[in-house]
Amino acid sequence: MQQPSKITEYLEAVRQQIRWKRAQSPVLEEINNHIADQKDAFIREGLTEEEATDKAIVEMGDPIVVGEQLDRAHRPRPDWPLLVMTAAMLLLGLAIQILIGPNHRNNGAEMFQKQIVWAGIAILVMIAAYFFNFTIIGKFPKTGFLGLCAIMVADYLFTRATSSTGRSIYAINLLLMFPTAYTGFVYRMRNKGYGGFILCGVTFIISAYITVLVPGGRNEAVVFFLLCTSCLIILTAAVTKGWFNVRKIFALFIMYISTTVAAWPALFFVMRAGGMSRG
Amino acid sequence: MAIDKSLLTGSTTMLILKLLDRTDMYGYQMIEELRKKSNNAFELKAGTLYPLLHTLEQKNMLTSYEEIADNARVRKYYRITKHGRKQLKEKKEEWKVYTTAVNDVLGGASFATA
Repeated sequence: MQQPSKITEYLEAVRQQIRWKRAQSPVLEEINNHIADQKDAFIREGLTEEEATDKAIVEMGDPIVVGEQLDRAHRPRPDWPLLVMTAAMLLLGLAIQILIGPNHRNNGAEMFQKQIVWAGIAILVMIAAYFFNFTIIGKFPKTGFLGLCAIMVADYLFTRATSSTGRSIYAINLLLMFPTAYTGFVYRMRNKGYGGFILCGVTFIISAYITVLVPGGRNEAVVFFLLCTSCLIILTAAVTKGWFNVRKIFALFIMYISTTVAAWPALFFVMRAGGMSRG
Repeated sequence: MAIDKSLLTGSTTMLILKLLDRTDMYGYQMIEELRKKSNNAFELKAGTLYPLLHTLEQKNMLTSYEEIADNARVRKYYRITKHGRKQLKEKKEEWKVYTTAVNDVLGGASFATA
């Protein structure tokens, strides 16, 4: 029974690389048949079933590389419902602005014009983000993550000297990029066992600490909560998908116990710091 | 003799089109055929072949259809299209120009007999 599972494991590794779900099953069936043909040929040459399976899998090549190449051949089609929904929400925002704008105590017409400009910029940014190849984050996760940390720390050191009321609150926007960078890092740690899992925990703590470091005024506690929740969700998904090859229940137990223990004092600290920067 | 990979990548498309120019084939068959025809010089990995086949299909150089084999396995056969034949012809021309140039530099006729 061990033999089919090796092939299943191989196919699963390939499948995970192919983002376009509809392409997955026909592609995998073709690969599966190929492995079966190759295996039969090796058995005819005199190999045992187990040797033939192993050799047929080796012949296929690294499943991650194969999967990535197949992913490139089957680029996901544009997600129209998502794009239409985004456009609808943007228009809705503008419509609301028209309705309440004239009665607003500030200059409604001027604000509406500004909103149009910003909507245009938002569309351009969204298009750029839509066509950006996010696999780059998976390829250089450490650089991405450390770079982001460095920017945050530099911001902390640099802007503290110039402002007494708390550092640049714009830095808080950069914090929103942490979950993406963190995902890249976790992805890189797959198949690295408990060592990889612990490293992911360490980077989680670093991310959380940096959030505490960078004050965001009144939103601070919210950002801290959002960031920790996102990182937890990412790490939980990685553990349950078996990326680390560790005992899932045990790893989740460790993760949630330590987070719960650490969360209360951290949250208290953040809220106190937030209160201070307000006052 | 094992052949440097970088020499192969550019010509793999041409070789696949050439194989299919003769008859429809499924992936495993192509690898076997290529190995036999080239006296084991071309060890094309399946991991390279399938992404390439799928790309060629999207570029309309190939079409595919399924057939059930004797052992109840579903085979995905590939067939060259008119556009594919045109591309093959162009690639063969390019290849001819390229190999002639390389041979000329290496010493022309003496290379062929070496």
